[in-house]
Amino acid sequence: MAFRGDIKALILGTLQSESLHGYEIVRRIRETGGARRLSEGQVYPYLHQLEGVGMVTAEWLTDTGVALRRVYKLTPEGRAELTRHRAFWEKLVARLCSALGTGLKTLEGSHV
Amino acid sequence: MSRLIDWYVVELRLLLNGKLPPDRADEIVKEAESHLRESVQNRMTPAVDEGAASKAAIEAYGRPERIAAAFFQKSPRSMLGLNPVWWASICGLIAIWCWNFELMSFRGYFDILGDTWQNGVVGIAGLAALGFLVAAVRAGLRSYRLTLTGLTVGAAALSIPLMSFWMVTAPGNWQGISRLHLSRDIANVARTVAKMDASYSFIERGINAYTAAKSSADLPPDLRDPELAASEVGALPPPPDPRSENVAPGEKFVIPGQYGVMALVDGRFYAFHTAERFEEAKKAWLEAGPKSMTALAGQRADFGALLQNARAAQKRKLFFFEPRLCKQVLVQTVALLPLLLLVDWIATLTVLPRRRWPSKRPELARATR
Repeated sequence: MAFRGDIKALILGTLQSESLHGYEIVRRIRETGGARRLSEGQVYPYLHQLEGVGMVTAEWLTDTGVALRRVYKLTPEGRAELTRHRAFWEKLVARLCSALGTGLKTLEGSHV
Repeated sequence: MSRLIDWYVVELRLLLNGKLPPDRADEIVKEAESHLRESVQNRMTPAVDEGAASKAAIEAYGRPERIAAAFFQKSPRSMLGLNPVWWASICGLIAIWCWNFELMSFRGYFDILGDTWQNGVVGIAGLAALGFLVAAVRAGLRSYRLTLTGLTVGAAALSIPLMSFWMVTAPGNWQGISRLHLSRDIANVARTVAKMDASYSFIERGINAYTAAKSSADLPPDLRDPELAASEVGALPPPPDPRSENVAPGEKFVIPGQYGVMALVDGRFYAFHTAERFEEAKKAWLEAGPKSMTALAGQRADFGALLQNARAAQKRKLFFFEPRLCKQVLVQTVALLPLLLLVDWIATLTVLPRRRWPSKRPELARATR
């Protein structure tokens, strides 16, 4: 489960490989277990905010055969932001693993 | 398609009306409708009919007022050219300052007719800040409770070094001298210390005189004349009690204060009262005189320490930490938080959409069954 502040990163991550419409973005975020505190509709303001700062673009598709859909696509700025977020989390996880590893080794040593 | 979805779409549009640009509101509503219809399609099974699927889809999507509020919160807003969060922060700080005005009093807010002109000005400034806070919440279309909480906690924490720097204090003394008024108040405190020394000798002399005196004729003139006594010791009795107007005029006797001594850094010093009859005065001198001397000696020591610290401050000593003063400011600053949150909450109520769930509309409630 991600922190509430990382919803933007989750959205960017969802869009990294393909363009998606809102419903699908929300569904995929839910599948990863993210943004549980938010209702489905509360993800949209974040999408609009990302659009406002130029990290994603959106356009209405009418020939979907199902319903009118607004499809979001990652921009180069969004991709750069995603890379930055990923680097941050990788670094954090590496540090935590390292700290936990050292701690566990110390614990194991004290039991010997 | 379910009437529930139609209701939701209309409701959301109404909530966004006038608060977001029409094009943007249209887009939000259209996207919500698209999401809900797809959600309903995916939820429908032979066991789940359209009404139940619509209800589940709406519940998963979120109540319209919540969604509208989330869009308001993420929309760029402005008030007089600034983001309303800045106005909320500035107003919160002004309110906190006014609340703590004059070290630790509510005078800024409540004592509009107090003894200094600043009280009225600060009171009006504090109330204006709260008014502006309401305006900022209304302009921002969101609550600033987290900002206000952080601001108050931060101000409370900062108040300790700030008070330690701003107020020159001395242990045991509940008063301090502002750095802005060092020269003026050092002179006042020095005068008060001199008055205390004179009063101490006066009380000592008074006890001896009353112990020996059989009638008022045995007393020295200054013990029978409050104005003469005041000119000697520099300490006037407090303003007369209006009830004493009913007492027949006659000779007045100076007596030691019944409730100890009151000395303020602004130069005011009260150590004596008056009595109408000799017997009454004699009793007061013999009972309250020694207590008054003890109280006076204590106050003299506190004011001596304060004077010493004020002179050290003049020679660039920076901090004078007094836990009692800091605690008072800390507690009072935090005590303002509920009021700020209440103002924020009331302002939010007046501007943010309230819940209008279809359960209150029987025809829609039936449609969901």
